Amino acid sequence: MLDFQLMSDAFPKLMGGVGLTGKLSILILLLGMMLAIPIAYARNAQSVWLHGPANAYILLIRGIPSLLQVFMVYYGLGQLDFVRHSALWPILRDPFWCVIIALGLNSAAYTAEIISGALRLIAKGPVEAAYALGLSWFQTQRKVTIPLAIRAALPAYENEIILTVKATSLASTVTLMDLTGVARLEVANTYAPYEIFLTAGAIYFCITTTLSWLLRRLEQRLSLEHMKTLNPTPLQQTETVHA
Amino acid sequence: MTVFSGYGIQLLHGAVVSVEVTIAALIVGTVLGIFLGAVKTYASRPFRYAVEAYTAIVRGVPDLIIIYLIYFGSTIALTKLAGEYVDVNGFMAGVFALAFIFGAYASDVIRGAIRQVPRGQTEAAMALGLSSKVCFIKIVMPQAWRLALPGFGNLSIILLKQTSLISVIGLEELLRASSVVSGATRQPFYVYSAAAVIYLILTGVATLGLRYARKRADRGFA
Amino acid sequence: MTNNALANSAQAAGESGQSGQIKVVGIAKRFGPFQALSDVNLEIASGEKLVICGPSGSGKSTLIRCMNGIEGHDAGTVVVNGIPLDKVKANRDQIRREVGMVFQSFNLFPHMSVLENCLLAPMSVKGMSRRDAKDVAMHFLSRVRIAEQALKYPSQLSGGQQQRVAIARAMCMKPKILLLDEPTSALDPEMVKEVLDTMVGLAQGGMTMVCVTHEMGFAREVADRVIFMDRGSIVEEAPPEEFFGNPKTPRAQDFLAQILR
Repeated sequence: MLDFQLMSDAFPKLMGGVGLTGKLSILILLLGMMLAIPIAYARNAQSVWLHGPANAYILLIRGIPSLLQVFMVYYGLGQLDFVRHSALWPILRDPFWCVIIALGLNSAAYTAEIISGALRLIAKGPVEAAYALGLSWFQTQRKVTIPLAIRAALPAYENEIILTVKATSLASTVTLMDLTGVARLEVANTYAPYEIFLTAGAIYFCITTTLSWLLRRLEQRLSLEHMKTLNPTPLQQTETVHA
Repeated sequence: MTVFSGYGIQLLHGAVVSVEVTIAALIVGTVLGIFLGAVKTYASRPFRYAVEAYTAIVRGVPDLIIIYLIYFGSTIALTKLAGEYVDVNGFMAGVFALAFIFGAYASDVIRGAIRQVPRGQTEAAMALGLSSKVCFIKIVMPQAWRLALPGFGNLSIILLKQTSLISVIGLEELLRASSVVSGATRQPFYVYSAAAVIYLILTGVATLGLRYARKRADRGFA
Repeated sequence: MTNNALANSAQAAGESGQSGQIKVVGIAKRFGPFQALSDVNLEIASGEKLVICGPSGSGKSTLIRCMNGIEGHDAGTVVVNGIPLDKVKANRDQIRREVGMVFQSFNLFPHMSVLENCLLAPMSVKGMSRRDAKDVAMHFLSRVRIAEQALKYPSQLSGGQQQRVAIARAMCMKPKILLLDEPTSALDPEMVKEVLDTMVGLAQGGMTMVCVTHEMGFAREVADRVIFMDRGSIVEEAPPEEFFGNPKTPRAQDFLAQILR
């Protein structure tokens, strides 16, 4: 059956790839979030010139497999002369940045959808109250809308975080040595694909499960605070946890 | 773009393979999803926990790793069974791997939909003396299906895109075909763009088809 | 148990053996901390028309739902048509074939036409051919005066029409016993009469009927006996004239005062 010796030998090597998986995940999510916020606001805007392009962008990204997006950035852009001669070429020839750009652009579309949905969910009441108190649009966003939107978006964004961690495994297809990349290398060295991928899968599982547990705890804490501010008398634990 | 004259056919052929994998995995995955969804709703605890564990694993492990595991796992298993090296058909392995993933997500959609069917429906079926099998097939599923359709639609579109991952095990679907063509033409940007357009058309058509299916299924319901 | 009821059941048992008879001995049922039924004893004779009433939460629906095993009981025994309603699946299946049920919320199958609703059980439970099942279905659909709507879907019918279809659906199994669980309480007032008229029509046959309802007119016209439940027990039982005219227990008096107000 399974060669456990081989699995335990491979384990430290595979763990060496976890760092890159983590680095990629964080940078992709950061880029995705930075782009997603303006896209989300544009999507909810009245003007066709704003929500049209935002919707088109989301539709475009959602209609194309992310692996193709990675290939388009990594292999495709190099074909274009103006890209090769631009100042960005040192970045665009580096598979690390290519993966971050491709998956970041991808994550931006999904995150924008989560944020715009959350922004639409927010009740008019508190926002109108803020205006009535004389707060400016920017102050209202910062003090009322965004804090409420974060809580509304959190469960869906948690899922996006997990999906992004899983998506970084695509980096292995463009030579990067993330967890999946190291696993592929080890498979080539040992020719024991089953043991190696099983170990890698177990590591991924531990990472994503721990992460989603931590995120759920964060969500609970935020929603408890949220409840307390709305209800001076704290609600019973059981009622707020799954709110 | 004259470069595409001969290669265009190759891309279209790849697209056909992608669609075939999608449809085959959709069928296998749907059957699996309904079965596992029913297990999650009705079965006794050990079975339920086993299916929950399966779903948690699919949710927590990258699709690529699952595809590798199933591809190499079935190669090893079949080789041992046959006593000589067996080269597993990439198409079959791909369909099986994607159905394995699809089934896990679909089981949650189905369970959610079954729970939304009013209790009175099963009570009425029981009172009429229907067996639980007939009740599930004739009463619960037809109603759950309508409720599950939006979720299934999303999963099907994701599935269509996931077929691109099968390229890593050598099946010449659309993405693999475009890699081959872009290697031959040295025009990766244009070739991949063409592939992107094909994917957009396929996902677009699938979205419209699903919208139509939903409208049809909602007919007769107030 | 009153003498009257005893006499009734003895007479009925003499006529047709155990068929159409229900015996409930000492049953109890809890939902979590809530005791829905405690030590309920009831004997229903073949052909008897029994009305059960009582305030909400009194256990009357739970009791009727225990009579075909839609709700399992925690203690005691239920014997229907001489068959014990227990964990044995074959017994339960046999009882459900012979006992029809009509629900407060109709519970018609929304994805099937009226006719298909009526065909399903005769065909898949009794194994009848489509043609025979259709003859039976059309017979009962015309008896509830809805035959011309046979090809419509439930959502296209009014509440009263839906409930009449539900009655026809139950009758298509030709049950010896019909259980009706508040059949008119989900209906708009103007539709109550058409359903009650249908029920009165059914009562003229020899079928045993157990009906949870507060419709006094129906009880007076049809029932052989009324039982009043409160807090999971049978508090009072009497013929309808006696029960409505001169309730003995204070709880029944309060209840009647409330529904008459």
